[in-house]
Amino acid sequence: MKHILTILIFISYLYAEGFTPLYIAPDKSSRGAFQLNDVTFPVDSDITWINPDLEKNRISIKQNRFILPKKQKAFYHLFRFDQVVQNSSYTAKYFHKQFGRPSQNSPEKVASFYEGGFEFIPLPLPMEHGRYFSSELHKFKLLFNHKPLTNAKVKLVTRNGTTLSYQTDNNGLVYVTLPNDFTDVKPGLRSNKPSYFILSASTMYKSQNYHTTLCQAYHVNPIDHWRSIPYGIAVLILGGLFGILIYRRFKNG
Amino acid sequence: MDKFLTLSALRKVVQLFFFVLLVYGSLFFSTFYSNDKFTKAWPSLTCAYDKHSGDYCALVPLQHQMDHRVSSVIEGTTSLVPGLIGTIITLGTFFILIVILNKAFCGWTCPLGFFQEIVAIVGRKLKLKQIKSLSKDTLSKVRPIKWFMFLFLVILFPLLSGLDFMSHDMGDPFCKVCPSRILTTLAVGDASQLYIDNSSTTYMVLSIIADLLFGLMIALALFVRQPFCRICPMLPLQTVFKKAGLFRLVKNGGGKCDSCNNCAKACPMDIYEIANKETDKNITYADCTLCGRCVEFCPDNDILKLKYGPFTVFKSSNQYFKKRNKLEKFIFKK
Repeated sequence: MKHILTILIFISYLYAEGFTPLYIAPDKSSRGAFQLNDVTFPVDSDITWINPDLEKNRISIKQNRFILPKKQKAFYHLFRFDQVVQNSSYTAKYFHKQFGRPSQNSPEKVASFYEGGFEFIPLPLPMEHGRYFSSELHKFKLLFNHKPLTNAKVKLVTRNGTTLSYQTDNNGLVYVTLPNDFTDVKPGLRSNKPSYFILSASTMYKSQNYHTTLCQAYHVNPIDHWRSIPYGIAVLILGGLFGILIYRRFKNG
Repeated sequence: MDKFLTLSALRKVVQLFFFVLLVYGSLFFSTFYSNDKFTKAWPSLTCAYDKHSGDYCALVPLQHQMDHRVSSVIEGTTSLVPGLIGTIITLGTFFILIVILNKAFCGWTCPLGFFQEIVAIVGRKLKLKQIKSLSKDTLSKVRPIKWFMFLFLVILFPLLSGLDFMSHDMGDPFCKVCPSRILTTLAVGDASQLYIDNSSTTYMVLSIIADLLFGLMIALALFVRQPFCRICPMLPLQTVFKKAGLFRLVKNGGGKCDSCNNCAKACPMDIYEIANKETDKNITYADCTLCGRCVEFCPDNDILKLKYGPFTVFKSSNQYFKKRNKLEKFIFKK
């Protein structure tokens, strides 16, 4: 009885703090596989998959995992999980970047794909060959039933252990600076594995709780570690001085 | 007002338009994403690192295709058609664009070319002594560099990188040293491309070359015309297709040409060969950017022409020459 009470108190504490509900992220153990993380209820729903051509499909989930069929078009694919559990509605989104034959559609259409409900919309996603980097400022819109959700609490949690709180503005926009929280950083992008950030928000409407998450990978920002802008400026000035030397030599014949 | 209406003035307006279009274009005309860029194979130096660019140059996909696709075809890990289709599309798009405007992409649309011309105007306004034209000896040393840049930095090094004969850091070496990358990102308020990278020796050397080259280019542009254009690898790629271009420079000198050499002196790329006596010949040389200055400064009627297909767009005339000379003196010697 004591343990049950402790668990209930802990759960209510997490809820009050705006805990991170389930989110979608790649499954590290298998390429092309994805996983529902932090699931606290039996999953009885499929994944909604919107491909770059905006075709809507379903992918079945087995043991909280699902696999994207091979040979897909480039670039962004949207995975969305929706399930209602008693008086709570859960939505989790993940944008997967796939390389291959490009779609004729703009990635903008997948990035802003929205059919109602409670969701984060990235404004925008990184370019096709780009990435989210730490220390960068990014903008997201929080929508609820086709309207921006204003002054809502948004929590950012990273797998590196950072938790940050934000609030949407009057337009439902939240500006998030991804934390520079990588440890044991080695020089070079390929030498460092990405981490994942999870944006989450909750709201209540007509006695129903709504929870939404958006999870994406982010990488070590080279400027924070192995790239130096001051040295770059110094070398640029050096190049300019070299040009001036050439000018003086020319001027003096 | 008519005295200010010159081909050079028109070109400056067009250059400014394309500078805005190519450097900030995604803010007005397309979206932020690469897939929404206009052509993805633009024949002048517009940069994929610029987050607001309207398009990016053909050299960007070419390097990546050499590194990832063509190399895998050579290795035998990818079959011919899927491996080469990207390169074929890039070169096909590039070919169509060259047919439409030929080398005028350099002289009329390149953001880096426009920037160098603006720096040159500043240099002249500061009354810095100008190098009117480079000597033939200097030109003979400088001209091959662009071919070296194209063959090694755009084709060979990325290919060898893909084949694992070189470090993967050499996958896009031209982009890593291109001054347009630094210029266009700075132009949108992003200083993150002006860096020294110490993650590997290759990246460090490339980043030092890039920053040195950018500083040197700005300083040289104050007293030498178009310093970077002379070694730009876009010129060789355009040269491969230039014969198909509808827009071209034609000389019909023969006995009428006075051999005053004005055309060669006016040429910002110092193409002294323009002064040679030719009869109805396409003289769009490898270094030509179709800026039209040679036509403007030719004092004889109908000797030099900018032609589009069968039509003459602009031709040399004594009357225009007088007007142009007067204006040049008015702007820079007043």
